Amino acid sequence: MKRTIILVFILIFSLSSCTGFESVEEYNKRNTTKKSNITATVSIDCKDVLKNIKTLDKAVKKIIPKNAYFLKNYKASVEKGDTAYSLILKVAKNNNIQIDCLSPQESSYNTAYVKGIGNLYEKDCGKNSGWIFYVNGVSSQVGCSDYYVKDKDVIEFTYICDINKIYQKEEK
Amino acid sequence: MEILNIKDLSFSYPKQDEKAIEIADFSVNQGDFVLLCGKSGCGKTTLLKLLKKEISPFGTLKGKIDLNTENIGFVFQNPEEQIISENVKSEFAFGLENLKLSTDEISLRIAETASYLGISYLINKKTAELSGGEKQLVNLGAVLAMRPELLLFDEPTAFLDPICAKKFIDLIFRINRELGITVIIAEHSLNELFSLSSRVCFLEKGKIACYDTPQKTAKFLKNNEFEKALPTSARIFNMLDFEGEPPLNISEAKKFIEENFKPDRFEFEIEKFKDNALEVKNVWFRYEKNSPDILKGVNFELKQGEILSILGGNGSGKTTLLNLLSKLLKAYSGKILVFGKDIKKFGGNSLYSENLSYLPQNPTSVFVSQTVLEDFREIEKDENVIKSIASKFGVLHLLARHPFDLSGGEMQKCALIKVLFKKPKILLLDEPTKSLDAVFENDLADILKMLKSEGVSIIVVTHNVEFAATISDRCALLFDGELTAICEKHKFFSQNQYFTTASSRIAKSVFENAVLQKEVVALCQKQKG
Amino acid sequence: MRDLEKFHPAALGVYFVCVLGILMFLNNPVIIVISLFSGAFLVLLLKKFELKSLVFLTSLLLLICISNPLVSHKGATPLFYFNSSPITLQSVVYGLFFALMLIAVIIWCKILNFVLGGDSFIYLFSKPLPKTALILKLSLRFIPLFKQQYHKTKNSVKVLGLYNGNKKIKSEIRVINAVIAFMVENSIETARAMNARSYNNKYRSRYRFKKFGVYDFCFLVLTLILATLTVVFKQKFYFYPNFSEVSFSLGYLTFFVLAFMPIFIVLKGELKWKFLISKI
Repeated sequence: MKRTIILVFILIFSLSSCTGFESVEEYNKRNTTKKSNITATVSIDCKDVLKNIKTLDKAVKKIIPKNAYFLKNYKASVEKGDTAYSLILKVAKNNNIQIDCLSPQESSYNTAYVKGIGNLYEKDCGKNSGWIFYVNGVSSQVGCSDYYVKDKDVIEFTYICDINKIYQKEEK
Repeated sequence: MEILNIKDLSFSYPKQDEKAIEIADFSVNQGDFVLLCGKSGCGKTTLLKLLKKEISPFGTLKGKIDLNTENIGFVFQNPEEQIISENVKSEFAFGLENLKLSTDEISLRIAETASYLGISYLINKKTAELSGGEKQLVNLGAVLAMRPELLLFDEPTAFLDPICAKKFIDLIFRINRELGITVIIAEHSLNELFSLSSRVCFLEKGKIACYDTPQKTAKFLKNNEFEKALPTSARIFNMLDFEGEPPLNISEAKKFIEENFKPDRFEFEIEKFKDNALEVKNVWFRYEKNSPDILKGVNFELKQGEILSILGGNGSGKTTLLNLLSKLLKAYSGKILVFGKDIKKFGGNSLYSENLSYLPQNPTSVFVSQTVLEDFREIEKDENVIKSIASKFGVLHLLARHPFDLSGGEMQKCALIKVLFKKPKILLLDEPTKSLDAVFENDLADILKMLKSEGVSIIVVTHNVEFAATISDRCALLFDGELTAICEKHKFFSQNQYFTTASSRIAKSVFENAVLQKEVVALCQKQKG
Repeated sequence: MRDLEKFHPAALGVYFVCVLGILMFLNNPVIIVISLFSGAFLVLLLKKFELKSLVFLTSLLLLICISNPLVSHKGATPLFYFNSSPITLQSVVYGLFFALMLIAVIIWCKILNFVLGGDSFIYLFSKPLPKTALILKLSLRFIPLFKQQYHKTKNSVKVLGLYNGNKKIKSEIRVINAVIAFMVENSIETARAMNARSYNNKYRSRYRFKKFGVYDFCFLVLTLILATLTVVFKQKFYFYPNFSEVSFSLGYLTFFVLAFMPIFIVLKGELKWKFLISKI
């Protein structure tokens, strides 16, 4: 009985791992972006953190960039069918910024969910903190994998420390 | 001084018209040792339970029970069911806590009682590690520590082997004589008890048929069906129609034979058997790598159609041997051949279909269903076959009952029948006579003889020397991991001094080779003419 | 100084609560390592070491070490990529220490089971909750009985040819059904025996077989002081995104002493005996 369990484990593991292993260099070398005429401006910032530095988790203090911008006004080429989600993945990879998100299939909201960018994760600055994104200065009504990027869009991924305040603002 | 007086007592269980107990007059004096005996179901247990109000059965009670004391201790049949705690010290403390005693008082009583009974070495052990005999001793100690004035015993030795049973009875006798505690004990195995009691009360269908000294009761029982339960000494005397009172123990009976009969020898025929049903060759076994060997090179054969008894003390490895023979354990060295085929080659459950069957010690583990009929149906699908076999063995009326509601003897019978449905050619029995009364024991002996005539080979592992002598062809002794002295039963028992039947011990000096009661009686009657 | 088992259950109970509490809630690798070593050493000293458990614990360790990086991609140092997700050093190490913490808990629970076995544990409850204590006592008695009867019934069922190797679950259920019926019968008889020994619901005395002495008091006080100091001087350790620095703290020292207290007691006892015997 024990033997079969171990064998099954090994089998599943080896099958699933046949694909997918790459070293860090190989991963970084992979450049999948194609040039296109459509561009969008992407920014990643955490300005709200600087205002709430007291509630920030001590572990992440060191990785906050000085001016609170991980990425400022980066011009990204947009391919056909790109969503804010696929765009931010490409942009982060090209700029060596760490990004951790759940794909639409994995997430429980049926849309992609960004857990952390640049090692700054949700809930690191109070229990209501996390990443949201703005399109052309307006907070998005849909998830980032449901918004299709158009030409000349300004996409901003912002880290906010209290999601409730944003909701209150919007209501007003 | 009277400690118990019963007048015009009648009791019947709920929804039953017939009376379980109907006693006009029964009294016990302080310091008496009273033996209650009778067939299964005669009312002994009911009477005892009525004497202790906390465990009195429900039903309609009429009449008076006058008890001169509130302090009554009760020891039940099954040692396992009376244990309450996980360790022995707690077990003793339980009853004493119920008496609201202080810690110091409890410690004192535990120490005193354990030392008196000689079980101080058990005091720190866990109850799960104790043997049956030790458990029953702990139960007795726990009850005794509460300092009762009257002790009631309901077949306390039913689940014990004869050696433990004897020690237990001796202890009860000591308690009665040295401490003056009144004892009323209901029992089946009367060999030792009869001569020790001050009075014997014989119950028949709930009524007292005889309540007198042991000698007079033995004489009274001469023409009763229950006569089978009397000690061998008395039975031999009764069968010979002598005048006077029967001897109640072996030395008296021995004197009786020596004074009245001349030396003779018993002639017997040795039955010849041909083929081997089982061959055990040089089997060694131990449970774990670092534990000692339980079986050290056991060698023997079981011939087809013979009954072999394996005797031996507690822990000698008898049950282990049977487990090996039924493939529940594996020997690390040696061979076992079943009808000439190596036992390891029997795949799956093929060994158990029409080949070999094993009836374990405690028959409760055999039953898994709500009624006996369902249990039988697990193995034998044809209901007509079930009914015919049930009536053949006389258990037709038990088919609708729940297995756990049956008495010890009935359960043993039904368990044996369930095993027999597999039509085995080899039958292994582990202590089949535990908790059986003399009548059931007789029944079982008849069943085994009938099976033998049908060609079944049987191994009986038992402590019960008398039973082994009655049914077996050959006997063997398991000692120190080896099977010694395998020989024909008359030779076996007449060459033994201690591990032998009562009849043999009584008549040995006068009659050679007489091992069974009937053999001694036959030789006596030959001389008497 | 006496044997570890002879200490009062209340003192020992508080000790284990403190050690296990600190181990589980402080989540500090230094503390985890100290507990692991002291626990393992104590198990060896008490001669309760089993090879089987070592195999189980190692496989548990491997399982958690492998599964944590697959689930959590936090951490600043990726070692390699698997299906475009980074397997980071931090999550591997976090998995490692989490597993070590579990193993330390298991080892300490084993020690707890040995030291505060059976009756002693029940004794803790017998004053505040006497009825619960009685039920616990009875349950403790029934567990080995259940095991024994299970083996006997399984053997009987096998010999009757009803234990099918292919339909294992069905056969096991049959065995367990029978054992449960047996246990129910047994418990009725036990209740009857309890009645026969004058069991009453109202007032019962309590057999205090362990007295709270000077040694127990010292042990209890020392435990509480050390535990409080450890918590006060605790150092919060971070795994993500980078490991935080580990510096010497008084908390580590006090926990070291706390964790090694039983070892000290056991060793002192053994040395004392050896010394006394050598004098004969």
